[in-house]
Amino acid sequence: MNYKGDKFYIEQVLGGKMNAFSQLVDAHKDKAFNLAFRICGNREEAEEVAQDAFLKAYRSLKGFKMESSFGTWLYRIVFNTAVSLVRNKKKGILSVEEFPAGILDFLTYQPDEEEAEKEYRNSLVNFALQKLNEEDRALISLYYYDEMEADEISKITGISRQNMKVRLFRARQKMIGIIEKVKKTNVSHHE
Amino acid sequence: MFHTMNNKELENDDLLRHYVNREGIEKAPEGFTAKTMTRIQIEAIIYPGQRSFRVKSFVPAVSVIVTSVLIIAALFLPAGQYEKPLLPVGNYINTFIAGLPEISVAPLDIASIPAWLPYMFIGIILLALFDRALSGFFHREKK
Repeated sequence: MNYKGDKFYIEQVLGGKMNAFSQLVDAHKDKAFNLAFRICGNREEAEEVAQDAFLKAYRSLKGFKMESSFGTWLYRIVFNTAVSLVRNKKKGILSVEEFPAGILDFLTYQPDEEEAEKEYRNSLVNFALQKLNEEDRALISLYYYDEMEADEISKITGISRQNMKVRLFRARQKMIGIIEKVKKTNVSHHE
Repeated sequence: MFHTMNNKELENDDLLRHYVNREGIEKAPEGFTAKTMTRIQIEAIIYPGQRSFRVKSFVPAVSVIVTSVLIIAALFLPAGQYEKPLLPVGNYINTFIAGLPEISVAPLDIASIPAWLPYMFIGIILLALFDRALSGFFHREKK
């Protein structure tokens, strides 16, 4: 079925056709889940957050004024919901030494070397992301994974453009530092 | 995208891009849409849509007005059938009441039941039916 655009389905929902909202969920679920995952750090919480965000979006749909895109508005809800959840929960953050595996470990269960390399890098990035605060995780996710423009990121996170530049730079530096440290640690463990 | 980055920033930016795999976007689990829609449907049943204060108060307000009008009209009704009522509407009400069948309370064998009591009960039942009708009329679009 061809997707007819967010506006079409929003009007359907506001006209009383609740099931039209499922089209909006389908169109935006992966990006919403990905953002939630990058902030929360695990799939169970990400699923809970993404569902809560869609529920809140449905409840507030009458108040959505179409000044920004539905996606931007939804991601703002995901961002706020995920950040609240992470702040409310006391989470133990793994130390660098506790990062579970090196590239060789990925190779043992992923025979395709290229896939193993990708998986390894994903794990490194996810691990390093958890060392950042919730808002910086969102910035990294929206900038690198969703490749959003600065204005859009600013609308979603409520962080000013100027502040965002500085925070992104610092978050990047911190993540690179962590990734390099983990790689060195794993190399020395496997020698 | 933001500004002209210096060499150190460019180096860091490139390094992180080397690790970030855009294809590694985490996808929502199987059945996510169905679970989300189920939650929405359940909530719609448990918590029906919020109505504005105006809409919520309309039916009670109409009931109060109608009841008040009836009470005020009754206050102005003369005690006897042949006395002139204070309000013109009293004439119509008098005629209406005169036309009502007489309800005998004698079979109940209770001393001093006021004659107007049965009419009051009938009036209350009629008001209740009127209230239900109004409620059904204004809530029908929700069904």
